[in-house]
Amino acid sequence: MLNGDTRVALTGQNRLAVNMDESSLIRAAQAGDQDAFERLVRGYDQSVLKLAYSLLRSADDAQDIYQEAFLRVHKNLHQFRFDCSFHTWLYRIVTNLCLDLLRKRKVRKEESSVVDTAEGPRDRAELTGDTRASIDPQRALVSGQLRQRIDAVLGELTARERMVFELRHFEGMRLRAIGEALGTSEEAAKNCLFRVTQKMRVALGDFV
Amino acid sequence: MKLACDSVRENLSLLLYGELSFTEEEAVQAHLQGCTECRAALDTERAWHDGLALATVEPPADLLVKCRQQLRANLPEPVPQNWLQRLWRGLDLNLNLRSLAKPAMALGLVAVGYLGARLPNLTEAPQETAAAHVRYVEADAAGNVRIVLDETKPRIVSGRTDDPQVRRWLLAAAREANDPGLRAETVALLQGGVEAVDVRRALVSALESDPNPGVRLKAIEGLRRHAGERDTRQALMRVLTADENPGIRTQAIDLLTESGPRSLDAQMVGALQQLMRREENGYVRQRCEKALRLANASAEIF
Ligand SMILES: [Zn+2]
Repeated sequence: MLNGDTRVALTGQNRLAVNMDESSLIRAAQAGDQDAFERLVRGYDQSVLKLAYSLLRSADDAQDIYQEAFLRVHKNLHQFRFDCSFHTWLYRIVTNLCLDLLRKRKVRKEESSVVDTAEGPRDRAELTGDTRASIDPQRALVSGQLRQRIDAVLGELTARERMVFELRHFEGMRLRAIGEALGTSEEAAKNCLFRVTQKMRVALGDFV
Repeated sequence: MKLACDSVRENLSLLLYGELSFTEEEAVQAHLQGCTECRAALDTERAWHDGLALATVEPPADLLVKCRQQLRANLPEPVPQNWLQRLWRGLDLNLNLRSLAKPAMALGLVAVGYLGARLPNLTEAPQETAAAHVRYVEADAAGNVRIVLDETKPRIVSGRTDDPQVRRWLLAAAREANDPGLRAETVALLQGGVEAVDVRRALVSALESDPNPGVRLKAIEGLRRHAGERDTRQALMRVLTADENPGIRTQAIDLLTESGPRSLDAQMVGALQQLMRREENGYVRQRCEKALRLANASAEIF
């Protein structure tokens, strides 16, 4: 239909409620428009939740990250100056929160070597990687050894390595964007990813 | 630059991620062409990359809804801006008029005003006002009630697709509408205006980011006449390896190679070869091989 007469019916509800692009949405939210804020959140919250859940493997923790992240966004949105993309700004907040929690967990993990499993308390050294992984019965059914091995490697990574790998491999983010989100250089993110792939290759290379 | 097998193998993952620098990738590719062992190592590398999919987890289905509800409850109330908003702030803003109007009318003391013409006459049947949302309600000691409604009234904008106002709404709908059917219709309408830069940008953006394959197909159709342009070609090349829908990947190959061998520059050949490395769909592979033959380039690198 080439330049035909067009009637655009602007019905209310959700269909075409507002024609705001993201920056006007942000500006409106900055001015206190709750509805705009909510729409802004909805553009991103699914992927934020997915990332947090994937990294932390806990619904409660993921929910905490979600709340804290978007409450911070709400509180600090007036400081957003459009000098980076909103995605980058948001991911700085989210990745920081996740990194903090991952690091705390590492500390906890090193503090106690005995952990609870479905089969009773066991020494951590006997278990591979994330204990949640080893005690999840469904996981054992579906996956078998490869999955356990993957979880073991993921569990051994530093918080930062885990984050970079998650963002690159599972989220498909470019290293440059990852560097921006983590407040580091693309090169540093690349080195980090490089280390992880060496570890993965050693652990999985003979397995596939 | 001649590379040793070890250093090639260390970099296979970065190659698969497309994160090697241009010269690094050239060197690795050159080595792979002449080294069977490293080609086998690349297969292994790709296999464990694929195997990692086993480790992906999805959040429980109801978690997102829970999170959204909790967030809404935790957000501070908007700062009151006038006397009206100071009252009844705790009231659920989505409260439907129908549930409110009944007891209020029973009192026979309903007074409605404010927001001038935007407010409906309350003698209207409740069914017709059901879509309106009550934003603020205020009652005084004498039992008078004042209700402020947020109304969404349909409005018609009409004109030709090149009319700036119509265009603005179409661009917004292509990007924002929740209903994928509406986005697809809008993108189809925008195809006619593809000469305009903002329309082309909207089509490229729909092609690269719309979650619905039907919308992406409309967008790629719209870009056909501009497949020779740099920005469009760049986008199409990204789509080649990024789009999960084989139909769209095939379309992208067609558009990129439509103008014959002269459209197959080095970058294009690189993109196709990259696709050959990743592509699992037999049909798409075939098309890709055909295009590479056209360019006299090897599809057999791996
Ligand atoms: Zn070699």
